[in-house]
This record gives sequence, C-alpha cells and structure tokens, in this order.
Amino acid sequence: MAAAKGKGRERKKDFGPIGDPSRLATVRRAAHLLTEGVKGLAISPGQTLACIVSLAVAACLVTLFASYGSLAVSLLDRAGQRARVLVYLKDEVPSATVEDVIRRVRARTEVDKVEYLSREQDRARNTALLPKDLVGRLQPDSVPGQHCLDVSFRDTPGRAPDVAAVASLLRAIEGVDVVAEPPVGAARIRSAAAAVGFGRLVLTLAAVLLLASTVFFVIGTLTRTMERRRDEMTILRLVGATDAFVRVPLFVQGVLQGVIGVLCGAIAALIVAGATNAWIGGDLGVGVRVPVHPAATLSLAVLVGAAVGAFGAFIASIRRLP
Amino acid sequence: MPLVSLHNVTKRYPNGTEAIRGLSFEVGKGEFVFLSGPSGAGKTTLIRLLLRMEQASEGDVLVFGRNLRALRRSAVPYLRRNIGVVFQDFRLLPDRTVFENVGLGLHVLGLSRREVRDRVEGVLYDLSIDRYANAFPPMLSGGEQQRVAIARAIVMQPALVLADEPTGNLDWELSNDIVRLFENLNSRGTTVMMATHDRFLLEAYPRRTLLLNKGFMIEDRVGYAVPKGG
Repeated sequence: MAAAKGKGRERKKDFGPIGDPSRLATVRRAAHLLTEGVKGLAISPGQTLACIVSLAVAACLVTLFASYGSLAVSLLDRAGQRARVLVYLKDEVPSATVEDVIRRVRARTEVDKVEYLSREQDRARNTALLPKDLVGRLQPDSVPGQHCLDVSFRDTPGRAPDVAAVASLLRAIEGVDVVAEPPVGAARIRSAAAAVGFGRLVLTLAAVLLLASTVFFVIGTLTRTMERRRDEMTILRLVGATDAFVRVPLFVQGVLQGVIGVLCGAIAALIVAGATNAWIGGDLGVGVRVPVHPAATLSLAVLVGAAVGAFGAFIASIRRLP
Repeated sequence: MPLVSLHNVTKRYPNGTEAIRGLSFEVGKGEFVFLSGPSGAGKTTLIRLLLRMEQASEGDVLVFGRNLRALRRSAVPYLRRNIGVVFQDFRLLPDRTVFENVGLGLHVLGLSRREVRDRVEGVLYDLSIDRYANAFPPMLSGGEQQRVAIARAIVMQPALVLADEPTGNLDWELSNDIVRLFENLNSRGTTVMMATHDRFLLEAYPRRTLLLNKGFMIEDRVGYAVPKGG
C-alpha cells in the first residue's frame, strides 16, 4: 500500500504540477464521478427504465419462488408430521387388553399421543364430521361408533413419520379390528413435499438465471451510454483522465441500476408475501406462513443488485471503452 | 534540456505503411514550432506519438525528458495533463455548454468548483469568448468553436500545446486570429507545436518550421520559403 502510494507520488513528480494532490481533491473527484454516474441514468431513459423493470421482475420472481416454495414445502411437511391413525378395537376386547395395546403403541418412538375414545365419543366425533342438515334427519344411534385409539405422531421438523409401518404393526396386535390410515399416506405427503421442494429449487434457479440474464440489459444500457459519451471519454483521456476516472461513472451507473431494480423487485415480493399472510390470517393453522424477512431480503437485494450492476459495467467497459 | 526530443523515430503500422521515417529533432522550452507538409506527411502521427496515443516502432520519443517508450500506461494520464491539444475538428461536446466543455479537464485535477469557475472564466475572458459561457458549441461559428477548443487546451496550464491543423476549417481572417492566440500563449512561456499545411500562414508568421513529406523530415529552418512549384 505504502509502495503504491510512493509510486503515485513519483509519477506526479515526473511531470510537474498536475493539480490538487490533497485528500479534499480526491473527495471532489469522487463526488464528480458519482454525479456523472447518476447523470448517466438519464442518457437513455427508456433503456434504463426497461433495464430496471426487467431486474425488478426477475428479483421479484426469485424472492417469490423461494418464499412460496418454502411455504408449500413446510405445509406438506407439517401435514406429513401431523398424520394420525385411528385404531378400531374389537367390541369384545377386555379393558386389560386395551390398556396393553395403549402401552405397546405408546412405546413406539414416533408416536406422540394415544387417546382412547369410547363408542359414544367416536359417534360424536363422526357426527361432527357430517353436514348439520343430514344429522338433523338421522336417528342419533344410526351414526356409527366404535371404541378406538386415536394415535397421533410426534412433530419432528423435516422428518415425516413412517405411518404405514406403524399401522401394519398395529394390525398385528390382538384385539385390533381395523387400523384406519389417513386417506393420503404420510409417505405420499412426504413424496409430495420432496417434489414441491424440487419444483421450488428448479423455479428459483430459473428465476436466478433470469436475474443473471438481466446483466445483458445492464451491459446494453451501459454500452449505449458509452456510445453517447464516446467523444467525452476520448477528450477526458486526452486531458489526462486516468482509467479509473473514465470507468467509475459507468460502474456507478451500473450499480445504481442494479440496486434500484433488484430492490424494487424485492420490495414488491415482500408486499405480496405480506398481503398473502394477511389474507390467510397470518397462519394456515399449522404454524406455517409465508416467510417474510424484510431486513435480510432488502440487504441481500442491495448486495445482489450491486453485484449484477458492477459485473455488467465491468463487461461493458472492457468491451467498449475508448 | 529540450522539452521534446525525437531520435531516429519510425512509426510503422501493421499494414506496413511507414507514417514517420527516421525522424530526429528537438524542441526547447518556450519555442513556437510549425509542423508542415502535405496530407500524409506524418504531422498527425507525430502529434499522436507525442501524446502517447501511438508508440514509435523504432527510435526514442522524449517528452519532458521522459522516454515515452519506457512510460508505463498508468503514467500516461500524468504526461497528458501537461500537454494541451487542439484539433482541426474542435472535438467539442455539443450537449455541454462552453463553460462545461472548457472545464471538463479541471475535474480530473480535482479542483474545487470555485477554482474551476475562476480558471474557466479567466481563460474565456482572455480568448474573448466569455459571453458564450452558457452557449452550446453548435450555436457558435467555426472560429468561436476553435477558440473554445483552445480554451479547453490551455485551461489546464500546460507546458506544451500541440495543435493539429487548428486552422484547417477556418478562413484566412479567423486563421490569423487563432495563430495570434497561439503566439500570445507562446509569449507567456508555453511551448507550442502547431501542424499546418497552410503556406500563407507559414509565410505570415516566420517561425521555426519542420517540413515533413511522406514521413521524412525535409527541412528544419526558421521562417518559411514557398517550395518551388508549391
């Protein structure tokens, strides 16, 4: 660092007075370059706007695909974990056997809770599942009821229990009449969750590719700027502008475009996610909601936008700078 | 120590054309030198070599005592900050005012707004174009545009001014004005090298003249005599 500064001083001494060497001059140069970069946004306003919109759309899609995909996976995952089976017991089974069955079921590690329902309790549960107008026309004891065990499984995040395996084990116990599994097996829910997770990954990657392809918009806009400013850049070189002095306004313009575009997209995605949460009441009933992390999302958007813009400016400047 | 010094300089382009062949001369501090010769003589190439826009194929070009062949690319801007350059086609930015055109280079130096304003206004006043400060170049005549270009070159207070056919697009009256401006600048100690093929100007202003033809130096003399049949 010190050596580099030394070389700089040596260069300046070689050619006599070349301007204000103070730090204040460096600040003034920086302010000038920043202003020139901002002015660059207005050189081709239509193209700049198109670039910002495409960046915003791509960033919005990335954020939405990532967050909604996460929501779908979480929902299915929870559905799989909340699976329960009903173990209907034979009528004549003695209470000692029932207690033995309960004890054996509870011994399973994946089982969370076992609740005994009497015939009346089961009938009441079944009645509650029927439409009210139908229930009104039925004799109370015409709704079936059988004493049973309501077995619910442990809620282990990210891992659905193997309900089918537990059900087949329960069927082998003496005194068990029927084991009713959920209409959609936990394994299938788990498969669905995996499929949705894969879909989410593919869609998010596609959106990331879309975002990456917007670099071409940035390059196109900056190339246009350079074409418009070619004469100015040539003159700047002739009056002693350094490479950095010519390049920095392009980078400022690129980074501004990138940050504005990606930030707008991220804000739009956050608004949509927030609205979705408000619409579903903040929770889908199983502790799942669209993940919204404003601070992290916006910080990441600024970083990604700056990276996309700077990369576009770098490519444009090495290809076209006079 | 001479300000500009060339030793057996040859500039050969990739297609084999030799724009300059074995050129050697020196220009001292405070000199006024005309570079003359017909089109294709090598005047513009010589100016480009002095600005380090091109590199000599053979020989050494020394400016301010520094061999431009050995000059690192990163040092070239610092060389150019000491050289003012004026072109035949003015090269002004049509969408910037006269003030902005002239002040363009001062931002490179990191001067304050006030310093930029003082310097630009001073130069515009010296060249009698201060009333056009807020005008755009296309609104000005050729002579006025060339004055703006000269203002842009000298506002950096360079030790050397290179002018490539600055009167090429101007009539006789305006050409005289421009040369007088360069003479005035030269009288204040700035070294001026001006390329022109206008023999009437060379006759009217008897100064040291380097006469080039097809890349060779034909003559290096004070004053100018119209070549026979020329």
